Amino acid sequence: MKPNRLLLIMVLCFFTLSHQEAEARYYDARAGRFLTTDPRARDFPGTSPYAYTLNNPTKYTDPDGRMPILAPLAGVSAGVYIGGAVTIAVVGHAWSYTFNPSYRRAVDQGATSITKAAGDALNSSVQKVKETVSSVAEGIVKVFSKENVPEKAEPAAPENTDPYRGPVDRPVTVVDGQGNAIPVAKGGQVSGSADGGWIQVKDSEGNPTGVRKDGGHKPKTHPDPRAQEPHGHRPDVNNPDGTPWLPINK
Amino acid sequence: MDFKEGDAVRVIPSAPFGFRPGAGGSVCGSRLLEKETDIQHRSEAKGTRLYLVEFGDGYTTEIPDRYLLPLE
Repeated sequence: MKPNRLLLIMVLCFFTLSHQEAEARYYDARAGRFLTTDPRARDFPGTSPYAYTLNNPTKYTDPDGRMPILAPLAGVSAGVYIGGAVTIAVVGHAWSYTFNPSYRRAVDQGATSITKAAGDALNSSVQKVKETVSSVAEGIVKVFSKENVPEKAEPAAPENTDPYRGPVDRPVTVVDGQGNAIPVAKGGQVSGSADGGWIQVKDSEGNPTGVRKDGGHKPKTHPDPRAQEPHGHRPDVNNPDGTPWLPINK
Repeated sequence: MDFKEGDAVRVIPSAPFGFRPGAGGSVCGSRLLEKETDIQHRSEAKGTRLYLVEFGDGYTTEIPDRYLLPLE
């Protein structure tokens, strides 16, 4: 016999047992007495026919109202009663299932329904679990996806303080080998000869600012001796005679 | 023609008047013309090399390389 069919028979047995009529009298729990007389009152001539367990409930019990019995024996009695009833019910249903085709058909149909209902419930639960797992997985993917991961801020470009590399981020001063200081404003840059004899300050666009250190011009282009020596230039700054070749450290 | 700082140069006679055609001077620096604004302002092609030339009286200006010759 398949387990689901056995289960159905057990359920039927339970309903059978629950409808057993076992009470012989009605009992008033508030008064501690039976409401009707004991059908076996003649067997207990010294006791009231309405009394419960010979007025000694701690020693006796009377589950069906017919006769008081010792309390420990009542448990055994009840066990035997229930066990016997269960056995009879199981055997009876098994007998019917084996030898009664219509009963067997009804049980099989019931078992099929139970199996189908249980299968549907299981499938539904599995589906819900799958959906939950899928949802959680999607959540995890979203949490760790590229869209949700905060983008790293672009590292700030290092501050440029070397005017030979390009426009500087703050004012700097270039000092040559002779100690001549050449100011370079923010955004300014510098170019010059490889030997450092010629230095030209430019703005951020590369236009000359007029601040320069010249290494000395040739006599054929510059007859003034001050122009033939290393000298400096600054806009609007001239010698007393108006010439632009400013003296510097040599 | 390439020049370096300190080289003596002469402006060719056919150069614009502002470049002092025929005068001799000294190269103080150079740069490539790359900025669009400079290109439009000077009517020069991109990539033209400009030389900063100082003349004997201290006057200085940027001259495109095609207007300069070495001063012998």
